[in-house]
Amino acid sequence: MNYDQVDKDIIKMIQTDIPVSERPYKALADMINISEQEIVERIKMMQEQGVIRRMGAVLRHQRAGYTVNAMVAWKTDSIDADQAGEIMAGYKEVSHCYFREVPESFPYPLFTMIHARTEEQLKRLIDNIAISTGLYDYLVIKSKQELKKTSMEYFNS
Amino acid sequence: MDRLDDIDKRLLDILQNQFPVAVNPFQAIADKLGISLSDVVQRIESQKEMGIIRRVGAIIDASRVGYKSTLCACKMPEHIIGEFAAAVNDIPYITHNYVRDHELNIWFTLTTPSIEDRGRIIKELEAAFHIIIICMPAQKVYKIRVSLGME
Repeated sequence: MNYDQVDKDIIKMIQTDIPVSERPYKALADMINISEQEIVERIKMMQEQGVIRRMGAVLRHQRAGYTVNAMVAWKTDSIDADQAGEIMAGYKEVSHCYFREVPESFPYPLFTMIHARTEEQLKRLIDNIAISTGLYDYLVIKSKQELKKTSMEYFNS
Repeated sequence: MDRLDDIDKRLLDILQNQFPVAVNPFQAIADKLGISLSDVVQRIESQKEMGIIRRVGAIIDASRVGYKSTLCACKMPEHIIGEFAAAVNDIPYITHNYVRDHELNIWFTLTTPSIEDRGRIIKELEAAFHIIIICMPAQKVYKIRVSLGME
């Protein structure tokens, strides 16, 4: 990837929280001796390159009203997993969809995270996804307890 | 949620989907909403306090900065989960850790600077807790969360 030490310094400073203030990049700019404008240009560049997926807020699902969340893992033996993945990705309630390398003991490689406001809504969503993809062998793996949820900090070791 | 008014909801939408990349992003948001900068700042601070907003910053693509991510799972006896959770809290590379309703009852994500680091951390955890951890790295990504609708 095409980023230098200055970009790394910027990532280190903005990867958790930026100050919620009039000029959030001011202190950072002073610290690494470049202008705020250059920081903004570099952030734009990193967004274009995909290093930064986006800037902005990360919410807590639960507190934002999405109280019923489930990981659903789907078996994809019989049909084209790619097609199913694309269909699943099209649901706005599906936040994450991955095809994963899985061991034989867990033959459910297509993973989705699904968010709903009620149990009924969740069940209906899963039914709809099953019908639209033709995948009827799946596991609904709900979380019972959140032990840790933090943001990754890069370049800090 | 009920404590949020329409401006709060529009603000959350902008913060997630149209965050301005500018030297003064919060002023730009204030202008868009037709409220003052201090009102925007106050609303964000209060939503952070309420726990609706976890953070405001950059969302980085781990793979684009050379990091390797994987989902991991294992079957763990109930009585050691607390100890395991404490150990995981000290490992910055593990960002998510859940007890789940399945025979594989522990699920966590591991994002490391290299595959070697991943192997080392997995081995250490397996040895310390007498468990077998399965790693399920993504081979293809179809979607990663964009935002939560606030409607």
